[in-house]
Amino acid sequence: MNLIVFFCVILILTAIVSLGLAAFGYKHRSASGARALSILMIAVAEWCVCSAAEWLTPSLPAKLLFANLSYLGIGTLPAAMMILALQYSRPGYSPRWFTCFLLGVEPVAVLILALTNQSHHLLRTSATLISVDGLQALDVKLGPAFWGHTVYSYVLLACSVVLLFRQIWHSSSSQFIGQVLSMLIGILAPWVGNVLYLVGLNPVPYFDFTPVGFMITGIALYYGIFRFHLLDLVPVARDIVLESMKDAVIVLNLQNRIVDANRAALTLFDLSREQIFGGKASSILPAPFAPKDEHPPADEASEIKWNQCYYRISNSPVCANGQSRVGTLILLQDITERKQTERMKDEFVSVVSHELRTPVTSIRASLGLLAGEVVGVLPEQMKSLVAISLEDTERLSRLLDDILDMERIQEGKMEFRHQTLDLVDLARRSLDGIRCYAKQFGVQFQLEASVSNALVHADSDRMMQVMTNLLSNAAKFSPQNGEIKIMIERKEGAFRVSVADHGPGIPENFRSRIFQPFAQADSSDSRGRGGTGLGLSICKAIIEKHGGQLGFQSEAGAGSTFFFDLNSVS
Amino acid sequence: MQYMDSLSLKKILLVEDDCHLQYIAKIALENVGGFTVKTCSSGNEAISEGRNFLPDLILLDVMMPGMDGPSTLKMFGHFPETAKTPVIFMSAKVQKHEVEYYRSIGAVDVISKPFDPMTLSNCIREIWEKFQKS
Repeated sequence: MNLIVFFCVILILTAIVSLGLAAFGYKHRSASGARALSILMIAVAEWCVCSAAEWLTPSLPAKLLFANLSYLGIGTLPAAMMILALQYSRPGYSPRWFTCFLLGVEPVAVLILALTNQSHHLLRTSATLISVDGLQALDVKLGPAFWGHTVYSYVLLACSVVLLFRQIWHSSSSQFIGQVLSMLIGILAPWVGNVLYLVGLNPVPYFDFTPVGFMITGIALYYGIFRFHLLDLVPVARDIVLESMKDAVIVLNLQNRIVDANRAALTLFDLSREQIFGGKASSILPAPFAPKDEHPPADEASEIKWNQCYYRISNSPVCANGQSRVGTLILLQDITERKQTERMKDEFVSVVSHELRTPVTSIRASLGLLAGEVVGVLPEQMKSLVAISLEDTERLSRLLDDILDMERIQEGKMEFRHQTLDLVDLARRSLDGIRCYAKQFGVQFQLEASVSNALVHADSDRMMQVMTNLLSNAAKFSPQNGEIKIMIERKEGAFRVSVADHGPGIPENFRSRIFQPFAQADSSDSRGRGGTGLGLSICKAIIEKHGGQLGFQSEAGAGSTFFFDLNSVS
Repeated sequence: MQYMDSLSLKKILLVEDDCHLQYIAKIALENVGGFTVKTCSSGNEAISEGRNFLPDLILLDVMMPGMDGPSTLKMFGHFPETAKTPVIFMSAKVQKHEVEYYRSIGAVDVISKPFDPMTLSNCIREIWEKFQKS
């Protein structure tokens, strides 16, 4: 087959592939850049068909007609490419009519110049026929309008390449890098063909390889669309993400000067970009938001109240190349709504607890009098029912006491009267108090103190509360006739009190939640064991208020040991 | 016959605004403790009834609408019939500093709420005996 005819077949194939891609783009026209891709591919197809027709028609007027018509595609291509690159690099970008008009002026002008070239010869100064490889080719001398159009096209293509390269630079996803590379190959392949043609280095004389290069463009875009989901996934630029954020973001350099701030930050402080950039954070931001230190500690979060609103401020280090710190990113989240909800919840719990406490007290006392047969002897069945009612009312009363204790702790209203206290004596008193309750579980207590007295500075009543809770928990979870050991020992300037049982142990998945309010390994336990799920969190808070630590060790099936450490009186 | 040990404590003026608690405490004090109980629902009522009833001891709720416990205690001091009558406060607020405050203004002791009706009388008797010894 004649080489020129072979290339003409390639041109036709390129046109078919291009039309296929144009149809695909039209089908996905709602995606960003899809319409521009369709127009680009239709322009390629038009150029290819006209080029093939120009070669395959023998007469000069027919060749000139197709050569002139090919300028419809030639002129449209760079503008369509530019819009595609713009839409890809700036998701959501939609060219305005004025932009389309500006980009459309040059292609229309070139087409008019081409169709009227006979009268002005600005595009090609002369055109003759020359025999190449058995076919007649157009031998043209290019005019100033052609060179002007070429420079304009190259500028648009260069801008497109720059936009796409920027996407690679800012993208961390291989998916998006693949998309951009496929588009870059799609631009560069015909561009190389065009340069070769214009400088006279093309392997087949008089044959413009530019449209053939579009065959590579078609393949590259096909690969980009189906392998890297070019039209389905469009990278969202990080600055768009930053600007769209509801939370305020401020970036400081190492000198605590503001180097960046998003729209939410500007709105929050009612400042313009000019007012905020480059300024010292301490002088521009309101006092609660300004970093206290010259180098604000990273990974630190705090909550503040400002203008009747609550904000959570978190600092994160900004690192260059993932190593050296170059600044600090401050994230400000408006948590007012969350705070209001929390306060409403706390108020609700508080009011309900207080309001329930009075009637529960009356019910409990009345049942106590009935059960004590103060107002008359009860029949056996009624006595049992009253005993059940009394037991459950006492449970409800304990729950209310615990909720109110939690409320006091959370609001910092729990008061402590510290005094010098002997933990050995405390343990004995606690055991005296719990023995009657523990009788129902049939457990034995054993106190082992390796010190004769263990003096600490603590609130006697609150420490009794902690001991009673730990001992009652141990009793509840011990097997029948199980032994509970209470140990008091010295431990590096402190005393440790441990309560060890031989119960089932704490399930592995529950250990991290054990000190959370209302946490129970098995929710059915609250009925079975009579607990509220608040006891341990109250104990932890009380011990921590004493500057101590409450912890535990547990082995499945072998039991648990809860312990707390308190500093000894020096 | 436990209450025979402290014969001098017979008449108790119970001041409590919650009618349910008032009724329960009255039954507990009368049936369990064997005391003669006069009930009042407010500080003002207690002032006028106290002067006629002449109680051996006053059991006074701290938080009441209108005249509260401490104000009522102060008013008792203004009348010779009740000026020297020992007063025991009943309160849900029994943290150490609160108890210290009640004592500082003249209360003999404080009974914490909620109280156990079965042990309330014994508790009062213990406070009474301690007070008599002092």
